[in-house]
Amino acid sequence: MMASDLLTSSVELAFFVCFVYVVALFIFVLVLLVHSMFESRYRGRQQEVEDYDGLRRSRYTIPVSIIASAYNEEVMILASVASLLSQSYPEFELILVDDGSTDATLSLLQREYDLQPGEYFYRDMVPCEPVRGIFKSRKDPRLVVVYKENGGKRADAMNCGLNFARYPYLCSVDGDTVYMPDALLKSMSLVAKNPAEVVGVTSLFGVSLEPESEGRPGNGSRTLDHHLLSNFQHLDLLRSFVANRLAWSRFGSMLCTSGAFAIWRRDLIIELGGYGKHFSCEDIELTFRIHEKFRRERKPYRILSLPDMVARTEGPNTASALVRQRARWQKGMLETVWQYRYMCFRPSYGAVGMIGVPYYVFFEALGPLMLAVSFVTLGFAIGLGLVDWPVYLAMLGFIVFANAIPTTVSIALHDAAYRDYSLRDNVRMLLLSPLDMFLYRPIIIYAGLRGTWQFLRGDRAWDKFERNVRRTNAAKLSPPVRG
Amino acid sequence: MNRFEVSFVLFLLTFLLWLGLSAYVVLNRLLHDFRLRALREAQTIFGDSVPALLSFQKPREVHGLLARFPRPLIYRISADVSQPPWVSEALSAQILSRWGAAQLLKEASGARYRGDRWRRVSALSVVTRIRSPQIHELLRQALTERDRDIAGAAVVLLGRLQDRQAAEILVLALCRSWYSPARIATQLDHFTIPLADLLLPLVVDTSPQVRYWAVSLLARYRDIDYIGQLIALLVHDPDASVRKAVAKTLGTVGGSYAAPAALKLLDDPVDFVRANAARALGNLAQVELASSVTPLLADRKWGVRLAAREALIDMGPAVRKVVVAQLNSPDTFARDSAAEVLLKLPPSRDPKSARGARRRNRQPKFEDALPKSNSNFSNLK
Repeated sequence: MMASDLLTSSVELAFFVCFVYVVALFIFVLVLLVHSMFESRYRGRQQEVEDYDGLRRSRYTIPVSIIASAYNEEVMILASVASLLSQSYPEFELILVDDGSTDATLSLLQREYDLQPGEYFYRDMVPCEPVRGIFKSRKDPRLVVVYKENGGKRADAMNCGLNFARYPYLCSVDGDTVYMPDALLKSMSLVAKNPAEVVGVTSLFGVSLEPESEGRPGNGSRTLDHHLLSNFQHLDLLRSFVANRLAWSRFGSMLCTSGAFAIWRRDLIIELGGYGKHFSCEDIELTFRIHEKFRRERKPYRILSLPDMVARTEGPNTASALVRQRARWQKGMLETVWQYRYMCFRPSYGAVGMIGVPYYVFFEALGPLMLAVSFVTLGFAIGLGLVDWPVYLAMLGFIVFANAIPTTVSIALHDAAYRDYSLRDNVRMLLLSPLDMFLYRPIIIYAGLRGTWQFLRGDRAWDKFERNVRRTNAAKLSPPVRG
Repeated sequence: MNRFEVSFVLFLLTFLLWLGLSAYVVLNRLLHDFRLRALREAQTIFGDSVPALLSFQKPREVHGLLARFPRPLIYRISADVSQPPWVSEALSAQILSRWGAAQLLKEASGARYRGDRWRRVSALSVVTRIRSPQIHELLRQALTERDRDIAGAAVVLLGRLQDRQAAEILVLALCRSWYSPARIATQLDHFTIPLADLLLPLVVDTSPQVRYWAVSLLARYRDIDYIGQLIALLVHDPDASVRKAVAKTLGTVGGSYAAPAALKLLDDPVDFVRANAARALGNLAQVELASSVTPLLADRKWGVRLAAREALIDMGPAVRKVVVAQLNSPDTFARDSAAEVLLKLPPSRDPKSARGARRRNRQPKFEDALPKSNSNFSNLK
């Protein structure tokens, strides 16, 4: 009798804790949403009056070193490099670091861009695995391909590229992502307005199963895949950037820049010792480190997140691949939060210490655990007959639609600013938003738990998901250069 | 209310909110598509006949179409640079006819809607388009605003005016650092009218930043004889960035003063000045000066070495003799660079030197290059 009472009390207590957690999360999300709306409107209006045409022809833009890392990217590499070389920005170089690929990545590049081995200046400013070959393109002098020994993590390839970069700003990109022609121009226009303060810029990118393909025909300039998992990932990123990071950018505590597109001041990255090789997600860790430095030194700085869709990246097309990817993200985030835990609730770190890091600790790091606790509590509650089913179903409905609202607002803001998806695609996204809770969120929760477990076990491996099988067989593969 | 009622009300509220938001997205998009069709219809009626739209003699249909647009939208689209010019023109005409010039000028001056920066930017954009006599003063005021978005828009609109008065305001803004100098310089650089007389006094400005931009912007005026002579006087400027701009500009404008000045800058203590001086000599393609550039292949700074190599290649085949001498340099990079220069130069009449270069710098095959380690010039700063 006593044990049963104790169990009941425990379940009720756990339920109460979970309820408070969910309410707190929704309040936080609501605040972020309101600020994101203001920021999105502001950036949209700013873009409407920006003189992009003048910038495109300008002799006075700040040159940028684009650093692309690639490991076994034979399917995507040509499309990715072509999109990067087609940037409408006046002055840039593209340093492609092949991180010891064992497939046809390098030979495809050699064939397409007429690569020639040669000497090239570079400096050992940040350590990386040995360089095995440096190739310059005869077709496009802006392209340099560096072939190096595999460093196990993306950070090593990025550090290698950093040693080769010549220009004052660098743009970190991925070899599995296809970029819009004005990605660099639009992002750098904000740097040019205030180069003394803007040290970093990131921007939204979409998810597609085959980013290199044109997509199916539609009346919008962009089209959605007809694939549920891809659509949910796309919505997840849209929500993360539009309903979340824009607000953080407004607060001055944007702690998560994406490695797929991030512009940084080069001298700053070198001063900080380059990308962290001991972290599973080097991009988040670098962002934390930059915030920590500027806040500690009390210097003005801005890291901006923009609502503009600058690229399409490949998203996993199977649940297992998605779990691997998201588990790595969760692990990387936990490693970073653990490393910078001392910033939490420290007023000397300003908004980053008082809002940004606590948000990461309570809602990003502890999120999967709290969800697991809530599921266990539900199991016990059902077992003990404590569940009032009508109330439970009503609350479930509330949570489902409350969870869908940030996604819906993101779709609304994005459509109002860019009108790039057809009405049909917009309706599809709107209808999918409440289904997220049943069809997509469980996978993400599982991935979060797995990532947390990997972190607790001390697993530091870099788990890259397998490339999707192409329907079109667009890339004609050639035999690998090296076995 | 009991627990179920509370839960149900919460569910109902969130569901209705989601439904309302979704309906808003769909309806807003339908409205947008309808307006887009209306604008396309207007274009079909008039083609690109913008003067016809501005002359207020347009038929009622277009007025009718545009009159359905709400005021904030008309203001917004009229300032949107991504719209085709005829749309902005038509909407500017609509703003004038519906709300009058007096109100527009008030909005452009910031006297009305002080809190809404974008309304002011739109008004300024319309006033610029119709070339109101007050526009220069309005844009000058806007440029001095603390609000960076208004100031930035003023810079762009002044650039769009393309007249002398607008250029004078931009030059003033450059001198007084009212806005990002690079953005102001971008606009000044795109002016089609000559501005050399406005820029020349700035080369003796007390601010190194102003001198830098003045020298850089003067590179466009290579047809004015004395520009090179004047800029050459700045080779001893105390600010390194100004000396760098001097080197770059001299390389572009040329003339009899350019090469001697660039030669002086080859001995500059600052590496990026030396690098730009070398590139300037490369641009000037005066082969008799190649012997002054070749020692830079062994410069202590890597950027200078690279610039020297590029400059020698730019100078053309006549530098061959001077470069061949570098093949015996004790510096590895200088030797390799000399070989690379020789290989990149057009075919030589002197088969000896070309053969020598090929021997010293055999290009490895693509596959052969992979297992080998590349030289790492980590000893260079």
